[in-house]
Amino acid sequence: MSTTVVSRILEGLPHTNTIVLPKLRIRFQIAAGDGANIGIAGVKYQILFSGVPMSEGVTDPNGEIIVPLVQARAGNCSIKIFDTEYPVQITPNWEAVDTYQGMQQRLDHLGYMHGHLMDATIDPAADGNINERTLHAVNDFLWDSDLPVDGEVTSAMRTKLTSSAGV
Amino acid sequence: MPFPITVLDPKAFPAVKARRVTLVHFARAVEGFADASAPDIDNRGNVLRAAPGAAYGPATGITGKVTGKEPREVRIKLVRDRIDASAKLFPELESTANVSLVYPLTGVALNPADTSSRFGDCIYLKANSDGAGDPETKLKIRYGTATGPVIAELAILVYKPVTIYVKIHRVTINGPASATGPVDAECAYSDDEIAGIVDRMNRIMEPAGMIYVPRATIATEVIDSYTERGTVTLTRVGDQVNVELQTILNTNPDPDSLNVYLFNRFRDITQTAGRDLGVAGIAMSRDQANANPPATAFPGCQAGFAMCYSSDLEYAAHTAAHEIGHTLRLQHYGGRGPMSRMKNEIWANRNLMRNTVNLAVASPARNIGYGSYNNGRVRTGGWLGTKTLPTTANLGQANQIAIARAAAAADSYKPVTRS
Repeated sequence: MSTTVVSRILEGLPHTNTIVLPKLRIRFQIAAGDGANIGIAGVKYQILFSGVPMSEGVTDPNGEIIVPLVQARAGNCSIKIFDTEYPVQITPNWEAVDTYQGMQQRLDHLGYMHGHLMDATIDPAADGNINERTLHAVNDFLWDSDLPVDGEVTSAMRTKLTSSAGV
Repeated sequence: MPFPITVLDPKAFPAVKARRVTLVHFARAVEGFADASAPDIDNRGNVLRAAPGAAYGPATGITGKVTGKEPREVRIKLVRDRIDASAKLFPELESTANVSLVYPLTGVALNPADTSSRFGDCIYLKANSDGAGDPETKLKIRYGTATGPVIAELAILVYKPVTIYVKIHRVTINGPASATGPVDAECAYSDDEIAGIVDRMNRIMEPAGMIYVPRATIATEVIDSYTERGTVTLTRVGDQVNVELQTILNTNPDPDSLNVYLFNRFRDITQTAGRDLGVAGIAMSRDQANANPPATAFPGCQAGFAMCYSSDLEYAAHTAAHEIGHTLRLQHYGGRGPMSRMKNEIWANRNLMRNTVNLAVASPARNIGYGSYNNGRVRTGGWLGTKTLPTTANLGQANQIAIARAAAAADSYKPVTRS
């Protein structure tokens, strides 16, 4: 979340208030995970609302784009970047990290739920089902986190997953 | 094509960190049995570690140039997970000192569509040095232009070719004079089948820079008075001191070769009927041979491997490549240390050194892209690790290729010479 300073007029008197405007942070990276130096910086993008460009910019040194939550929540918000359109969808909650679905949601949030074979389908929903993609993501995360790599979801992995995703 | 990005509501969960999105991944460019022109990749993890395999992403190996021989073109598949086919992507090598781009050429965008001679979104490479010192470089994928931002990278190791000569022994095992066993005494492998196995072994091992060359003649060996005709019987004693097995491994070994003994079957009498024929091959390294010298009524453990018959040459070649791995000091690939707790996890299932050659069909980790044997059973993979070990991953042997190559240089597969 970031803060923005705005000016408002209240009861005819000048005020300067600081209010918090929640924003979405989306980072495009060369590899999954929350490590440094893997953002794709300097790429032009547009934020669209119902297909109409509302703002534009370039990804920051971390490969990050900030999207105002109010736009994303209203629906029909998308990001156009890499010659590709990415509709932005807000999910109100995640399952607990000690559920399979909750683990999948966090792994997906960190970019781990990509395929490892020639399968180019978009990520499957975090549905709690075990599949090869999830098993690979679990191992990838364990490897990156220097945890024992054995496909097992341990309390140490859940703790690390929670701290990496923030929730 | 739109690719939705789902983000947790930051108003309800202000502690949530930035959503991470990756665009592409590298993959083995074929499915089914190992193909030397489409090597598997070591895609364990994304953290940049020390060489070998220093990339934010996977690593793969190719064989260096052999004098007088055109190097093989290999291809790596780039899968567009979340980027449109219209996006221009440009492969680039960080260094062309040891490997070069064949297709697309530097400065030319990848073609996402198949053509008559090339597969879509595949990067074709070949070695342009002999790989002395096993150098590595990075394949980078740039977006938009040939100088655009990097969106993915892969480490490429060029391995100096290591030739291992293989001496094949076809073994006839006679039982007791009156015995009529369930299998023939004479080994069933034909010359053509043996040649087919060696060819397939090379398909598996070429990405590790290892080349198996069979000696010109196949030796014929005859051994008498075994427990069962055509059979090596496994008992409760360890394989390294099993007299029947070690007698075979001591039969006319070529001192400067990897010796391979072929016969019709193993039978493990410690297992119940139906499970007693499950062993496909057993290997010994020189280390094991030295640790188990001859004793009374025991010829001593010898380096090499023994393998039983299978009409499925891919099954046999997979078994042979796995067993050669043992002669090169590779242990089984497991979750927590060598051979101790074999996990049904997806990397172990893909690995050549998994301790079985096929996978339980019900396993969710069976979809590893290696297809099935003739009997319908799902194959384990033929991949060997080439990345650096994380500090606490407890894999035992992460960089299997480096271990095997060092063992080959130390002649770990050659027989012990005993006076």
